[in-house]
Amino acid sequence: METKQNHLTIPIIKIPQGRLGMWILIAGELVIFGGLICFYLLNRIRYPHWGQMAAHTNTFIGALNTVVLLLSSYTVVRAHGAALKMDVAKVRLWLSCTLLGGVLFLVDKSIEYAHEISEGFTFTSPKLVAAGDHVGSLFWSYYYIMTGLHGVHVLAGMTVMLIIMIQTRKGKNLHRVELAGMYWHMVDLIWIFLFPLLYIAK
Amino acid sequence: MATTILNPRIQIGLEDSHGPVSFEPIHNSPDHDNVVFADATTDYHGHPHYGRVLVSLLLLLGVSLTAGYVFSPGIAIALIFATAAWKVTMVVRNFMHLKYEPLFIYIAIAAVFLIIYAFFFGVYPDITAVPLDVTYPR
Amino acid sequence: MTAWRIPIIIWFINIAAVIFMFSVGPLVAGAFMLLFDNVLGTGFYDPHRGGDPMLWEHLFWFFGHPEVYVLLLPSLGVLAEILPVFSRKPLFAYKTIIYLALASAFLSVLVWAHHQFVAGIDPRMATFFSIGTILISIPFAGIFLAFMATLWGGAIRMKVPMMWAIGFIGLFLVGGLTGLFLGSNTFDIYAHDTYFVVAHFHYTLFPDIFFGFFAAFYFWFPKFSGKELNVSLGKWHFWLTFIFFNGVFFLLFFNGLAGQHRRINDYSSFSLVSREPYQTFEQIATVCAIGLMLTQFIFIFNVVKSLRKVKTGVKNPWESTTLEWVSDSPPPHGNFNPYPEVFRGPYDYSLPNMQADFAPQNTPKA
Repeated sequence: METKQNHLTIPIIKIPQGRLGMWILIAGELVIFGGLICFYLLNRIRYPHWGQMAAHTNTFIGALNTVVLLLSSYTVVRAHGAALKMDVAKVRLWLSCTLLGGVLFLVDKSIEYAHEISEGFTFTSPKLVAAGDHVGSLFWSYYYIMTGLHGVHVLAGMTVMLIIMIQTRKGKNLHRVELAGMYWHMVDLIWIFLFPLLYIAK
Repeated sequence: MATTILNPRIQIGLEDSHGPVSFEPIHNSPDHDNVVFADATTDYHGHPHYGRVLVSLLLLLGVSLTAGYVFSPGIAIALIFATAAWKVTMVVRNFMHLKYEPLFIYIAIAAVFLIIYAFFFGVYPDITAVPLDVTYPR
Repeated sequence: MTAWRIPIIIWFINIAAVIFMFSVGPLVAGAFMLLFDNVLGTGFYDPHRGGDPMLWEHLFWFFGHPEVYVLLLPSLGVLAEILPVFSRKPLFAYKTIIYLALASAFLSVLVWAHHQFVAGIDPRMATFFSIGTILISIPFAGIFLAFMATLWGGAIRMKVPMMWAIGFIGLFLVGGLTGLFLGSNTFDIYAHDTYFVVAHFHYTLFPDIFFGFFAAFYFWFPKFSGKELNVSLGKWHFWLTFIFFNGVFFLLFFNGLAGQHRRINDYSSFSLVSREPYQTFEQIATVCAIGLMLTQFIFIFNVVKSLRKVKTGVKNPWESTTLEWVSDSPPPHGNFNPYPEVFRGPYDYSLPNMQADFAPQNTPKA
């Protein structure tokens, strides 16, 4: 997709400007989550007790969320294919499917959070702390900060996709569909890493 | 070509594509967004078969879910993280088209992972290798 | 215009931006964790809750070290623009400088714990970080050698931007060399948290930020305003800043070596440093600091006075080759009218068989 300045900059940077910017943003976001995941891993290796705490996460919902995100990654890449052919109706269809996937993910997550909070595992887990299980409460702090930050990124990705759906309804700026899709893939990527760490390794 | 540049509201369809177009930059155009997609096929990258990629991803997810029940814990953990790494590679290479991007993007993303590994190993002795009774006296 | 014809400052600013994007992540994560620790009562850094304060230090300095190279690279880019113009010579080893900058960018994320040598990290890790810190001086030394090679044999025009640029090189050399001392974990055990460190980072940061900024400002002021700054005021500004800056910080190296710690309110119980000559050094530093502050008013006065002059609109007062000097001063909307076409590299000065001693990027080759 060409925009006004691309023909000037592509001989230098070899890809469209929007894509370059998006890759750099993705790299930056990956490092944020990379740092958090590093610390989770380090503490996980240090405290075997966390394995017991991780047993309280719901693997079924986690796996369901993984499937939902993978499918939504697929639908968004199909939206990109439709944008290449400038088929606005198909773009809206595929982007709507992706948004639906995002909503499903958030709904699942809320159900899971509700269940865990009702069991007393919150961000600071005062019940665990009162019972003397400080190390366990730290697990839940990490769990909520990692999945919470990821959820914020899911929301942000959905917002961006909604805005781009509105902007492209007349067929203008269709190149932006790919960029929103790349951000959504990054969100999926992070979840693929989070899922085994938090849900499977018990 | 010249008439279409002067009248940017005309959208050019696929039949007019000639490859990347060099046109004059439009100065003082009130509507910068209303530029033609001069060539919809200049996406600058190819594309894989997305359906096959999706099926592989779902299969790998199945493997990682069942590994815990089939193998011993050590092998299961290794397998689970290996499948996660492979899924990530597939998503990045295929859905994000990294396979088709120029080399320096590849290097940038690889550098990100190297940075994260460097961080992990730089901090490992200070956090993980400390005995519990030193840091967490009950 | 190709990738290898871009003025080097653009490369450096891009590399700095990329380093920043790649390194700020862990700090963001760590800052959230600190916020939640302070506000919500989580235990990420609390040893009683299973956390570890070393975590915070690692997260902070993982960003903190690349950050100083983010600060440094744009100023080095400014230098790389100014030196060829005022020595009428092409920049030495253009591609090599870029490769060195990329190498230093890569290394910069591997050396963060040299800020934590005495904080309680594993001493075995300290060795790796020490080696990395000393290694990272190599690409920067390479860049500086390339700058000096640019100056060598050139027809130097000692205008005000050039004075700032050469001042930068001289002062940064002192800062960089003292950084090598601090990079060794054994020396750092003695020098950590003393005024030696303070003097070191001021000798790197002050030239980096202030001399680089003033060099850039004096250099590009005619372009963005269409007017010229007063030369003799500029020279007074430079020399007084240079002298006062050295007066403040050079003597502090000795104070640091004598063991004067940072962040102490009252040194009267430190018998080694509360006597002569160290107290005199401190007093000289104070006086020079006040002088340094007052000198900047010369700059402000110069800028205000020059902005009130009538616009002369000289396009290329320094006879530079890069594209920004082709546009009008100040540049109109759209920057160029007409849009220039690039035929040459960015530093075509004093090449054989040229009529003038420079050829702007948009002049065709004969």
